[in-house]
This record gives sequence, C-alpha cells and structure tokens, in this order.
Amino acid sequence: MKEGAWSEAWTRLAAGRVARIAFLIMLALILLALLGPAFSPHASATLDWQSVATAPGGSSRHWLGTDRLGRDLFVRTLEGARVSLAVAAVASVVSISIGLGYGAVAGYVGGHTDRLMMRFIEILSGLPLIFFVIFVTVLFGRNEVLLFLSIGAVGWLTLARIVRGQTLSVRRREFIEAAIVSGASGARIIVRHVLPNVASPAIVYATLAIPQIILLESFLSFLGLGIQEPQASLGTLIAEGAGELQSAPWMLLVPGTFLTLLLLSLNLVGDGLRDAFDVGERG
Amino acid sequence: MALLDIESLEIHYERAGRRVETVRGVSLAVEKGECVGLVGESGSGKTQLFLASLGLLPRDARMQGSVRFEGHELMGADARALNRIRGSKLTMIFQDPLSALTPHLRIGAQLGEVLTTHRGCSRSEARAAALAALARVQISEPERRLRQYPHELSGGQRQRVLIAMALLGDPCMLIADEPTSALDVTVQAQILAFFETLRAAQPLAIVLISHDLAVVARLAERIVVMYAGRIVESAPAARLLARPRHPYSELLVQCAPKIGGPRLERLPFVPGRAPRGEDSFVGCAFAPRCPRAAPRCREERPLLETGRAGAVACHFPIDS
Repeated sequence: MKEGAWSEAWTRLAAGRVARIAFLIMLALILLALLGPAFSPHASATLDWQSVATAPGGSSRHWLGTDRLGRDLFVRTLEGARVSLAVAAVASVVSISIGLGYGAVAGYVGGHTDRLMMRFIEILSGLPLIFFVIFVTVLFGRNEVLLFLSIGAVGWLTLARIVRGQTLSVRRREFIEAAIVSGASGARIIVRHVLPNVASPAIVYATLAIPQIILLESFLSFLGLGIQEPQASLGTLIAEGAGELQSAPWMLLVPGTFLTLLLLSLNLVGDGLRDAFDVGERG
Repeated sequence: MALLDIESLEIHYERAGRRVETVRGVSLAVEKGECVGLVGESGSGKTQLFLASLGLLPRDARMQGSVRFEGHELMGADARALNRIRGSKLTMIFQDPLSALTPHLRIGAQLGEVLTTHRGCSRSEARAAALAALARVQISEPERRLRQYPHELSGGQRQRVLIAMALLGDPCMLIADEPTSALDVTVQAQILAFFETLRAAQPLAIVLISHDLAVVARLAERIVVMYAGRIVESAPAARLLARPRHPYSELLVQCAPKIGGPRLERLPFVPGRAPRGEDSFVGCAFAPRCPRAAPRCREERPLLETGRAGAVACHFPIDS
C-alpha cells in the first residue's frame, strides 16, 4: 500500500454520502452499546416486578420497555449487542488471520501444495459448516470463547480463496522476482511483499463478513446454541421476543431494530470501503 | 575456473501438449571481471538462460545441463542454498525498474532488507549502508530518496535504486536484463556510463542482456549472439562488430543505425520472423532467413566451432 492510498481510500469513503452516514450510524451504535448501559439507572439482570412486560413509552420508567421478567430492554439490548459485537470482532480476527495466512501460502508456494490446500478448502466448504459449529458446541458444552473461535474457524474459507487469487497475481509481478533475486526467503517475501498487497480486499471482506458473523451468532443463539442466560445477545433477545410477538411486540422490535440497523450500516460501510479501495494501482 | 559456467543447458516447457523449447543446448562461461554482452531477438532464450541460473523459471520449466557458480552447482539447488548466493554474490537487475520495486515499501526499507537478510545488520547500520549505496549510484538527494516510495521516483532514479540494491550485497557478478530499455536515451547513456565507472573501480563480472547492439557494444568485452535458443556466434566485441562471421550477426550489425553513416531511405532489417519455441529444425534455425543459405544448411545443423577469435555456428561463415 502506497503512502496516501489509505488516506485516499478514507477520502473516497467519506465522499460517498451513503457510506459516510452508514459509518456514523455504525459508530453511534457501537458507542451506544459500549457506553449506553452506564447511563441507564437499570441493570440488565435486575428484575423489576412492578413493571413486568411494560410497553415502551414516556410513562414507564423503562425507556424501551421491559421483558417478561421485568428486565430493562434498553440495557439488555445494548449488552446483547456488546456480546454480538465481541463475537464479530473475535471471529473476524480469527478468520482473517487464518484466511490471510492460508491463502497467501497456498498462492505463493503453488504447485502441489496449493492444489492440496485448495482441495482441503473445497472439502470444508462442501460440509455444512453450521453443523460443525453445532457439533463443537454440543461436544464441548456451551462455551462463549469456543463459540467465538468456532464461528471464526468456519468463516475463513472465502477469504483464503480471495487472498490466494490475489497472491497468484501478485507473485507474477517483477518485484517478487527481484525480492527472490535479492535472496529473501519465502516467508519473508510473503510477509513483506505479498500480504500488504492483498490487504485491501481482506479489509473489505472483513467488513462484509462481520454482519454475516453477527447473523450467524444470532442464528445460533436463536436456536439455543449460543449465548446462555442470564447473558443475552441480539440473537437470544430476538428469539425471546419472537415468542411474545402477540402480547409484547416491542420485545422483538427493540433488539430486531438494533440488529437491522447494525447490519445495514456495516454492510453499507463495507460496500463503501470496497468502492474506496477498488481503484487498482495508481501512480 | 570460470566464475559462471553454464554447460549444455536445455530448457523446455510442455504447453498444451506441445513441446516448447526456449534454450536448446547452450554452453557459456563468464570469467571473473568479464563483461559479456548477450544479444538476440525476443524469444531467442537470452533471458531464460539467466533466469534458470537464478532459479527463477516457472515451476513447469524442464531443465537439463548444469550451471555452476564459483564451482557450486545451481541447477536443482534448494532455495536455501540459492538464497546464500542470490543477492550477495550473484545478482540481477530487471528491465522495468518500476515493477521490480515493491510498490508499498519505501526505498530505504527495500534497500535495508537486502542487508538485514545477508549481513544481519541492525536497522541503523542498514540505513547508513543504504544511504551510502544510493550515494554511490550518484542519485540526487539520497537522504530524501530513502523516505520515498517507488512511484515517486523517475525512471532513471528507479533504475539507479535497483542498481544500488544489486550492489549492496557486494556481488562479483551482475546480470543486467535489458537494464536501459525502459529508459530514454539520455538516461540510458548515464546508466551505461555509471556501469563503466563501476567496472573501472572493482572487478565485477557483468552479463548485459539486450537486443540493442549499441548498448552492448559500449560495455561488453565479448559479445554472444543467440538465435532460437542457441549461441550462433561468440567473439570479442570489437571483432564481432567489425567483422561478424555468422550471417545473422552480420545482419544485426548492419541493422544498428550508425551516427555519421550514410543517410538511408529505409533502415535495414532482418527479413522473415524469429522462430518460436514450438518450431523444430533439422538444419540451421536461421536458414529460412539467411541470405547465404545453401541446401546443406537445411539438412544439417551447424555446430558451434571454436576458432582463433571466437566461435561460430555456421556451415559457411563469412570470411572463410
């Protein structure tokens, strides 16, 4: 990445109005999830028996209502969002690390190694990966960290393919030959000369993968395989809310709206980033 | 013992079921401190020859023969062994100086990498050495160049950076593949002049690969002419330029425009097309384009015969 390319990408990102608004919304939602609960008088686990399943509104002490146990939905949604964001962060870091490393090695080494590594990916992507995650959860019990890691471990396949493709084209460039001629080792060439050149598609992929990961976690939690009570994630809240759809629709609408806004803004930021980086080589 | 000794090297590829031969049996020795010019049309195998020496050929290249550098066999050597030689004793500079520099690394970092790899230098040592190397290739404002990215430099500056990088490992042999073809004529002259001063200062063997006889004529002591993957003539530069013996060399020499020569309506050229790697020959590969070709040329391949002043592969060499 050349000097100025990052700042230029940033300028382009900011120039797209949709992406800019989406970025601000995303930032606001994340900040809200991190700081919001601190400003609320209620704690997420406190049961308020005076106002069980109250609808949101000015008269209530709870801004966004409460659930069946009288827990404040505002706080619970934000804490659930925290969990969802943490899953997304950990899982995307895991999948990006594996994907970058695996793809770059396959693409750079090439030949039989590459063929073998790619066949392995094809076999893995042929398996229903959701069952892998479920299997791990069932086998090792419901463990948050394990859930994070296993989601990350199934998310790297696409990225590895993207990175491999990029590496193949980078490796044919003359500066790689020049690096070989100057006596640099394979590992050094991958780290110093190849990876920085494939960073931008990886970043774009990551922003687009985060919403998928959040969705996957929500889905697993919805099925009851993810986060456990009393902890909540957006997925468990939605699952709970879905059960009360007729009597207390806000229980679904509050976390549902939050999730929708979060996913939408992340996707738009990802699209904006892709456009911002998608300028080829300049200079 | 020659510094670099290539012996009956053959390179071919299997592409879509066809055998593509790029080098068809070449033996070439380069002595310590010697400057050899390697001339030939595109596709004559001149670059392949040295890419093979450095282990840079594509994976599907099939090679036979031997390449020894200071007595060490390079053919089939593993990357670890090659890396001890590459970049330190034996190095190469490429035709296009922009694409040969990693775009996202500052010049200082790229130069420093060679030193930290081969010398185990610390960062500050590497920086000082990189600066000295840039000063050595007479680049303007070397301090500033260290902090710049490749795209911020001009073509001539980039080529100087590449040369500086090649010289960092203190090589005894430099392979220059069309080092000036991507540069304009004035910069080309400066770079060639720099090579001359470089050779005057230290015994550095240079292999100058070019299709431009004028470039080669200026530096090389010996000129080797390749055609269709084989050497057709090898002779001391002055002799080859004055009295070429192979008809192909003669045509090449005639094609090089001369300053002060008679004004020509049309520039001379070698008629016909250069043979490709897929073509196979019974006789001499040049026979179809050769003004002196006789029936024998099409039936029997001439071997490279070494005489008093160089070697030539022709049944009917000029002046015999």
